[in-house]
Amino acid sequence: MLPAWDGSYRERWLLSAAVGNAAWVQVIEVGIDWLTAELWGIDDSRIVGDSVELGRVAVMSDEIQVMEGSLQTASDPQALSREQHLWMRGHYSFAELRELVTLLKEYPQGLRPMELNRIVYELELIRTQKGNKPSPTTLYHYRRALLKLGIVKRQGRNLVIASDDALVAALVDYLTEGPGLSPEERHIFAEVVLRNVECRQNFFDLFMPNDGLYDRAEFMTKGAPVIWQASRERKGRRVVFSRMDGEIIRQIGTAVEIQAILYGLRHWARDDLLLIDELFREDIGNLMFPIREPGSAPDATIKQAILGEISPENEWTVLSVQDLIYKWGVGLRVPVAQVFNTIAQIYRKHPDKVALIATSRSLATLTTASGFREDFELRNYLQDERGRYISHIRLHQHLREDTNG
Amino acid sequence: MDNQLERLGLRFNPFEPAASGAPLGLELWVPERWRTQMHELLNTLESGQGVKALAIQGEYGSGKTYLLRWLEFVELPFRRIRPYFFDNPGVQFYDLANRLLRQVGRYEFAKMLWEYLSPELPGFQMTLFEQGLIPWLRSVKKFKRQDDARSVMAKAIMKRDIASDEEIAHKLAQIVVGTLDQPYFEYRDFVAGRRGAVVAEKEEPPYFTAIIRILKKAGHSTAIAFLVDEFEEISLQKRLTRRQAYDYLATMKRLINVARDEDFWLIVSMIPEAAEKIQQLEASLWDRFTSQGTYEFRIPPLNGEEATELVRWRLREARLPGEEPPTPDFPFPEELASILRPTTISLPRRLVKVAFYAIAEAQQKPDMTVPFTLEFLRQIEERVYPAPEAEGEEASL
Repeated sequence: MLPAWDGSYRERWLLSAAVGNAAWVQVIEVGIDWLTAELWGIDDSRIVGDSVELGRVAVMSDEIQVMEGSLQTASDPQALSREQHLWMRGHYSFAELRELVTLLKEYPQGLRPMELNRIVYELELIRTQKGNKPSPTTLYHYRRALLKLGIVKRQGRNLVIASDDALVAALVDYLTEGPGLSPEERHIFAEVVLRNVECRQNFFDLFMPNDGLYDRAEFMTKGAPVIWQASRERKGRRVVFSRMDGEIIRQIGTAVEIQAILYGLRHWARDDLLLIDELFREDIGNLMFPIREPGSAPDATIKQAILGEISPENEWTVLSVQDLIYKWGVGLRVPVAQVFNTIAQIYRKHPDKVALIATSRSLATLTTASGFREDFELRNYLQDERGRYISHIRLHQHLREDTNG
Repeated sequence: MDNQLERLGLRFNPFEPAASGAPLGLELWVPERWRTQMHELLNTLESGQGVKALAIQGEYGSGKTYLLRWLEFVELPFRRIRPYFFDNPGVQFYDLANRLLRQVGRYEFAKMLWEYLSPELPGFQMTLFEQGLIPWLRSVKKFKRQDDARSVMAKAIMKRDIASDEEIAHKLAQIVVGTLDQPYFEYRDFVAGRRGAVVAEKEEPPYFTAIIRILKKAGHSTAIAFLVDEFEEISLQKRLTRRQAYDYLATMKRLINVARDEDFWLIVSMIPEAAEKIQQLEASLWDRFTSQGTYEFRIPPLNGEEATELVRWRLREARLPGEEPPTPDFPFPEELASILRPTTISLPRRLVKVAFYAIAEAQQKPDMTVPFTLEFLRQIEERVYPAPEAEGEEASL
């Protein structure tokens, strides 16, 4: 009935469907992961609702039924199921997931997916990072994440909060309002993510010495740094994860893997859940390392570590900021920003004995291939009040005495 | 003369507001500590054969450009080394040839080469009275003997052991023969493969070696030195791909490699970050620059004595003739180095800027107390280099 799929994951799909009584045939340009997820994620392969967007085509109808067997045309249907566990995406935040949980809390009987979407649009509950309203696809990813993480469950056709789960119940108790997550919300979301076997196997296990169960506290204290490096090969992009000693732990290459792991789980862990931080060095690559709860390592410890680098023999000691965050960020398991803040504090208190040494922005971003990557690499530089990127600091030998005094 | 300046015992303000590079019209001075270390490095390098590469490291305002200019105007000529100064060598190898030859000038380069080769060249109907490059070129053109001129000149280039490759010899000869019609270089002259290009295609290393030989032999110098400033400003506007970044570093590495049989110096200045990037991206290039860390010069921050000496030196150059100032530091107080912050006196640029604004403001205020007071100098320092706000420590810098 349908032409054979040529195996590519981003293809034009000919989808044959029945809309009401009328036969409907439409070419759909859509990423295969989205399409299969959308179709397979709902019982009996139906998409129900009054407004359903399929790729670039919005279809208004009461019901669209995918004709039986249409998905069997894929030349490698197993590939689809193989990647079913890669549902994580990085283009939404946990603060937005929290908004959906808050909404569902008000509906003990639950909401049907399209009702949920409608309310989100009406109340303008969620905005994307660019300030736009989220697309139905994005909302689908939110719903799927909540389901996969066990925060929400199905009750018939409705989505309800899984209140029988102790962690979820605690989350509901702690729900707050505001732009970001409260520490309690962040802790519970982190525990929920770390108990999810797909999240662990795909990402968090890379950091742990063995594959056993672990909670947030154990991950933060026992997790080891992981390096990732991306390369372009003839077959496409390849990302290699390795340990500090060079041992390769995992390689990924499909678009779905990269979406889910590199831009999904990694961003969750780094930006939302604050389980890891990341730095870049030309000689090592991208280094991810587990961090302790922000603030749990006192700034004084970091300060002493930095001041301990001052040479007593020379009037001035020049230190590389990248070396400092590599040595003390990774070593003390503190975020890069906290090391920067400590340097800033020392500088503010002793501007006469601390000199900030700027670098050229073009040199700092010498080998970046995109603006996105440029922003990422510039995270390794302290920025001063004049917007300069600081690569080194120069400390006077009397600073240690002054600080102790 | 400005009365206010006279009151300060000066003919002009010897400090400049930009404090960038070497000052105009003043004798260049470097602290004894820098001079001694540089002399030791240069003496060691000079005693060997082949290419000598040296990296000078320092933060912005530490005096890198000034030190390169001191090498260019004072130290290298003293050693009979001919220096060429570049503020950015370009990404591609022939960009460097372009900048070098444009710096020399086409006419000067052609004249230099022609004079060096002239014993080997026939007259081409030269007149009895008119001698020199231009009459020779006119004569060649008048009798339509350009091909012959190129040919004999190429042979002379090979005979004099400037180049052994025929294409390179012809391209160099073309520079001379084409000078009459086009007495300047254009960028496209250095794009290999283009019609009229004066560079040989895919023969960058021997081409460059030939140029260095010409500059050395015809310039009667013992060696040639390239001084490359602001090595870190690789791409001021556009983003480089990783490959282009490597190309840039490869240009430097090849430059060192191609000139390994020549007495060629490559001295680059850079910020500390550039040194680290090179080590990470191209460790072998860094080894060539520093001989595994043995020969690198990290500009030391000025200490109190050096800062005082710098100010005195500048003031001395601007003193009123025949008048002895009350103190060598006048109109600055003798304890200047202990009044200003260590971070200010450690950087020549900061020190010169503060000194400039102090004198400039004193010029505007006839009732200003001299020598300058501690409060006045600290006020100027705070205005030029404000200390960061002490509160709001949680915020970013």
